[in-house]
Amino acid sequence: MLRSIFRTVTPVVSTFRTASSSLAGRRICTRFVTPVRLYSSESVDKNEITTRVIDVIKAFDKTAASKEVSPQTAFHKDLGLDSLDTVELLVAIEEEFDIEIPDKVADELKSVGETVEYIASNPEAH
Amino acid sequence: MHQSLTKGCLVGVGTDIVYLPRIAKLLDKYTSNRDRNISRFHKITQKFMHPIELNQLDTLLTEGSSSKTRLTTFIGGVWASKESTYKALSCFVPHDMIPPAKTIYTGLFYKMNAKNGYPTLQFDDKFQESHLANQDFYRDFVKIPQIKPLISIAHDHDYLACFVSLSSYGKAIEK
Repeated sequence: MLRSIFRTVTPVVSTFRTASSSLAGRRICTRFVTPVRLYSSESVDKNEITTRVIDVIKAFDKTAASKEVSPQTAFHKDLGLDSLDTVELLVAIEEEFDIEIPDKVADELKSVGETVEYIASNPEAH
Repeated sequence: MHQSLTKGCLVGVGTDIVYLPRIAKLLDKYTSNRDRNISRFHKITQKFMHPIELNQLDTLLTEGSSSKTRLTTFIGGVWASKESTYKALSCFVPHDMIPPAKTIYTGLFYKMNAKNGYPTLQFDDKFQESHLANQDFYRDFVKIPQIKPLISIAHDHDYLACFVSLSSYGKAIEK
């Protein structure tokens, strides 16, 4: 993916080098300098997010390591987590993906699948 | 001197029970010397403690004399007071008007001990200015009805129980 970005950038960079070599004491000819808009890499793949969320759950609660955890798994109903456990789990997930889950969203995340969907839709997730 | 009793109308009640060994486990897990663990512990407590409670917790943590039991009971008591109060609010605040749990837990009120050692709950009168998105909730369901909380906590060995009641001393609440 990075290669595809650099493929786009190269022609501009070479133009820039040509322009910069004659910059000293001269006005920049802006005709030859084309601004380039660079986009960040694609959001994290959903399958990868699911795997990472499940890993966090299994590491968080020892009993969950032996249970089957899937996108359909509900925190309270299937894993027996109460509200304090869920607070602790969501903090672990925030750290895993380097995000902060808004208060209102946190109240609504009741399952693995809902959590994955939220992270997938968050462009700041890593 | 006896305080005169003012007539109020009970509008909400909530309760919670905490298994204290799970709080002790939380403390053991996250308050070891590893910086990352302590950082996560602070992030967890910041999800449900008001800044005044966080200061109290910091004081207990830095005081070498604070026993683990004292810390466990403090954290368990704060958590139980939050859950109980949220449930009490849910008795009369419509679901679509109640702020998110973390907003209520960390911003709306805090638990303190009175001079006689009894727990009390105090609404934070700065909530309305610091939480502009929830101004209507505070105005309609706390300020105008003049909601006053009462809290009672009991703990015995591994369990802590908390009861919170909310009474209105002002204008009647209409759902």
